[in-house]
Amino acid sequence: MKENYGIEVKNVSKVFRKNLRSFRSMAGFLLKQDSPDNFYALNDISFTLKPGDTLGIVGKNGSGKSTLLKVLANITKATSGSVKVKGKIASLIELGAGFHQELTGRENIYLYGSILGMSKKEITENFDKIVEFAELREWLDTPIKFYSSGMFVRLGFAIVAYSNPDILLIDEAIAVGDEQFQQKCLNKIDEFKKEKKIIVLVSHTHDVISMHTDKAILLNHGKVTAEGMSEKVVEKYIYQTIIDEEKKINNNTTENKIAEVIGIKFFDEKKQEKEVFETGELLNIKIECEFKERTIDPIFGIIISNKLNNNIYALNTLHKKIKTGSIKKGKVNINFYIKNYLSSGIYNVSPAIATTNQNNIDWKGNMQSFGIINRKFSSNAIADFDTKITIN
Amino acid sequence: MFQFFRDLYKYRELLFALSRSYIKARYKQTILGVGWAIVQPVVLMLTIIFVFPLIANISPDMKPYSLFVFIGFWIWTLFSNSLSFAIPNLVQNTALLRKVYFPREILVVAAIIPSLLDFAIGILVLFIFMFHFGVPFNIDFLLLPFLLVIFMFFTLGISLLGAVANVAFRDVAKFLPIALQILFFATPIIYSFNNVNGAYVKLYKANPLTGVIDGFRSIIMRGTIDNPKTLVYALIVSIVVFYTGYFIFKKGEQVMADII
Repeated sequence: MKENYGIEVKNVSKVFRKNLRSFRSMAGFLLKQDSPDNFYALNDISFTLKPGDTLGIVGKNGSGKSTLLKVLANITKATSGSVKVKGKIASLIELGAGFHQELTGRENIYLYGSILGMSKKEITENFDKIVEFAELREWLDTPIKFYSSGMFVRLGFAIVAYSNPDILLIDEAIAVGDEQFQQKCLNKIDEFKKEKKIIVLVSHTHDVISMHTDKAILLNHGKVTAEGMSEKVVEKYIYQTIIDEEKKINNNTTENKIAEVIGIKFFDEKKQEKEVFETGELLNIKIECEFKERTIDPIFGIIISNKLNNNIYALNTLHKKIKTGSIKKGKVNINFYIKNYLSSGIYNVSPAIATTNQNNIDWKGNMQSFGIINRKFSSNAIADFDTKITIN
Repeated sequence: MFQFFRDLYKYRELLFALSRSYIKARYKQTILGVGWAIVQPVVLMLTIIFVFPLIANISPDMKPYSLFVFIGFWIWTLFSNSLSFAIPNLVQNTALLRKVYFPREILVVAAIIPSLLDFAIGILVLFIFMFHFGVPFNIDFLLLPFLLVIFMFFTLGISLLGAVANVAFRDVAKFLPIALQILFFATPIIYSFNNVNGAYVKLYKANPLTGVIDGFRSIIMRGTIDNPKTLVYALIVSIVVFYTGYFIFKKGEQVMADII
């Protein structure tokens, strides 16, 4: 196998302009004039990838991940620095971008295949495999405007997967399909990895990065703020997100409430305060409340939710049949001790206080976040339970 | 220029796939299907045959007038359809431009190919006219492909220029129908170049379409080139326009995905 493909990125920067609406700003941008509206989407990025390398890119929305992929894919040119790419690139920046709505699935396979640089012969040779992978045999002669979005995604990925690239650039795209198809795509990516192809993967799902790429970079406002082993970079990303979240704590304490949650702190088994825990570790969530008057048997509760705002776990003192008794005016701390079976990611805690007859006194949605790192096992599932397996 | 043809060759599969998809998409969900490609020239032919003989005062170089008008329309349609399709085509493919790389001029060239196909179908109608009026073939017909190539360079140059300008300022595509309308009357399509005189004749001659249409007509109808100077001028302008268009297009290509 010839392995003369690779990527070399040196001091790459990319300037965008926020506003291109007027003639003046468009003309100014085209003439490369400076402007307060200019901003760096990428700022001095360098890395090299050789055959077999897999790179994950993590970072918040707007940190420059997609721009970096587009620069690699030659869709947009870097403002300064050099990008050298050798080999056949296939980019999955948005699935189905090259489809023509009026044409059938069959015709679109040929159209999109040739956009990806395949010859007609190559497409014909791989046609059955593409159809097989996309699971769309009976829809082949239907115009794709009648396809569901899931079918769209399957067709797009299938064509890219069989376009025989040396370098594969993937941007979130696989997150669109259903669970089973996502797994199929990830398996295909692992297959590519074994075939020594270069893979650059952008994802918000921490585990996808740590599981499917060896190296990773963390982007923040267009700058590389961490690079190295992908698990380590993902950890740093989780820490960074936690720190950013803390700056956003809401301060809506003006209302006239008889009690209020004023803070949340996280501790481990050794009463050590921290924000990032490991899977299986004891998670002590301390809710600090302030009561303005004596209250009989209030209910305290928390909800843990993930980044997508799915509630993962909810509990309260009523449900646990705990009599809270008479709470005096002043400060009181409620400690929840949870053995966590969560997988890697950022989780939000929403605390609540209610009266005995379940009327809300105070509720602070997504008040504080903690992070979880799963060092033992990576999957894209939310939970990692303590499980025993027997084989009889 | 060699770069242009090299890229075109390298991406020929994409070029054909795209233009095939444009042609197919044109006739999808129609009863006549590809039959529509024949309808337009045939209706044009019938209109010309039934309407234009009614017009009086036709100078001798315009006879037979039906054939004269058809050739004008035939070439004009190629030009105006190419532009109308190619200039907005980059913007219409915004999603594609932002997600996949390929030389962007492919989109412009691919948008012109369906019009070339219509032009080819027009050849059949031309033969019918020639047969009907007993116009013989002559050796100068061999010059026609050459003329067509020159003309296509002009069309391509304008299309590239218009398409890239339209990415930055959408006004271009909005203004295009107006510009084409003006040009339609400023080009000898339904009248003869030889009948033009007056103060603006110099400006009028600056339009390279004049030379091309006049060249096509005099070769087909009389087997000579009436105004060789105008034709040579059109040739030079076409090459210059193509070069300029291609050069500016390639410059614009670098920021296209950022501003589209």
